[in-house]
Amino acid sequence: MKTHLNYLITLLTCCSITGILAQELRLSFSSGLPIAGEHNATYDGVHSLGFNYRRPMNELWVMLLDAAYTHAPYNSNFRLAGGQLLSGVRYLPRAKKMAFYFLLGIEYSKENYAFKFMQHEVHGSFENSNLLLKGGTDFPLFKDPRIHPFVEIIPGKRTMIGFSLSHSLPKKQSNE
Amino acid sequence: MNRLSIISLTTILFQGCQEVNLDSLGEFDIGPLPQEVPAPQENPINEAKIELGRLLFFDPILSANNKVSCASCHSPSKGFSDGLDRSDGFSKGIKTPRNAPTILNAAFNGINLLGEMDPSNSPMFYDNRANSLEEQCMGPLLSSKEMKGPEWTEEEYIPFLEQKVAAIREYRQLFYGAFEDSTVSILKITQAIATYERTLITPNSPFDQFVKGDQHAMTDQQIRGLEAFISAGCNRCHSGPMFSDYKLHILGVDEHPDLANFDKGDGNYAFRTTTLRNLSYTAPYMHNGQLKTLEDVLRFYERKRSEHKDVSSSDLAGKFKDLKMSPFNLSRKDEIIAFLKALDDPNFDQTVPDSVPSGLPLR
Repeated sequence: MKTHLNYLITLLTCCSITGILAQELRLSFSSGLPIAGEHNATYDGVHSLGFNYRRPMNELWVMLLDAAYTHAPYNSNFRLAGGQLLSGVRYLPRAKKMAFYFLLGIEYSKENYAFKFMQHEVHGSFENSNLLLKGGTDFPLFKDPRIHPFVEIIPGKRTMIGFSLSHSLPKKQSNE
Repeated sequence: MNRLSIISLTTILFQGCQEVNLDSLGEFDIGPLPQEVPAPQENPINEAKIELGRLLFFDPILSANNKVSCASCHSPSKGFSDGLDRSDGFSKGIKTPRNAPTILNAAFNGINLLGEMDPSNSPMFYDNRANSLEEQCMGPLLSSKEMKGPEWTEEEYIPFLEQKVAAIREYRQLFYGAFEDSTVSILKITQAIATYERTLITPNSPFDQFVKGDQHAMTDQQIRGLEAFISAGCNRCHSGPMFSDYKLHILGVDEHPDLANFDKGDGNYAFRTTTLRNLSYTAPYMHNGQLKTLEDVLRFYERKRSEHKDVSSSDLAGKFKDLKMSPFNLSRKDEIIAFLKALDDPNFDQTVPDSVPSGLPLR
């Protein structure tokens, strides 16, 4: 539980900083299906909850900063929990509603496992820091929230497809 | 409404964030091997008997043509198997009908989930037709395709073999040391070889060490593989310390193309669940060596269908058809293979005697 608190504190700190500087701050919830890599063998689904900071650079390009808490709860022997920090850009073509984005960052994750055998119990964990690449599109569902189909790649660990829903937090509304 | 959504999402997320709760886990029916093997009351272990059994095991004197020893098909350098789909038999052109199983840990055959076993009631062979190591040893000795050859009847061959061995002075001395009686009998030969086989155990694989508390004994990938092995349901048949339930199951493995007659196993095409220990040394796999690699075996289990002309899908074992090799878990195969390698333990006696009492060349 201590590890999870550490993730939370880090995440909240990042969010506070980005929140102060944000032109637009969005809360997002995502679900993904690992389709390759080690996590594909272990987890049926990975979820994350995060904050997405956006700062426009010009009419077309927006700078992004993402901080997210991620976890996989569906395996009875394995649990994954981790924090993601990503930065990247988003491109919205003129007169289009669909934008494209690309993010690069790191994921720090901890996986706890436990097994109960005949007369023996084993539990432990492994921790990893990995490069994370994420790309996708986003388009509005009505006016807000927006939906983001994405592909997330952690080399060797997981390739995941999924989608996020993001909702603008009421600090400053998006100009889109 | 927005706040409510955020609170709900956060609750869902953090529900899964605790450590894995051991109390909520089912107990898995696999576990470590004991460090010692029990011997039957009528055949207690002693050092002299182990040495006698070892020399007999490697000595071609036990075959009618003095060319085939137990080690011909159960070579220490090949994990006490021979690396062939079907073994070379008594003479050139004769092949055994089945793949030579490893004899590593065969002394634990029949061990139950609690690590208990009766060495006098210990299933042997792919069709469980023998009930102890001693009885198993008799099989190849009296097989026309293996050591007896086609020209002798059993009644003729047994006294011939006993006389051949008794004619060697060193063996008479060794029998005296082992049994306090220098008389040579086929029963004592099988007892000595069985006693040697009881020393061929591998209870210290990375998996055994992991289960006993050494978290670093298995790699991360192997630990994932262990979970995948259980999730896929492999442990429903490959259970217990030997990763075998010692039951007969119909899997519909394709027939060996060179066999003149179909091998029907127990009569219904059922064969015993084989151990998963030391698989790295014992390819090819299945009762007739038809699957060359572990990848081939896992692909066979993914297909979950009969590949034998005489076995229909309805005949297949229910546990086989129920395997959860999900198409969404593409990487599961790699992880399971990694885990299977955690059941290897190279620390078994791989020594071969420099010579045997008969003076025959080792084969």
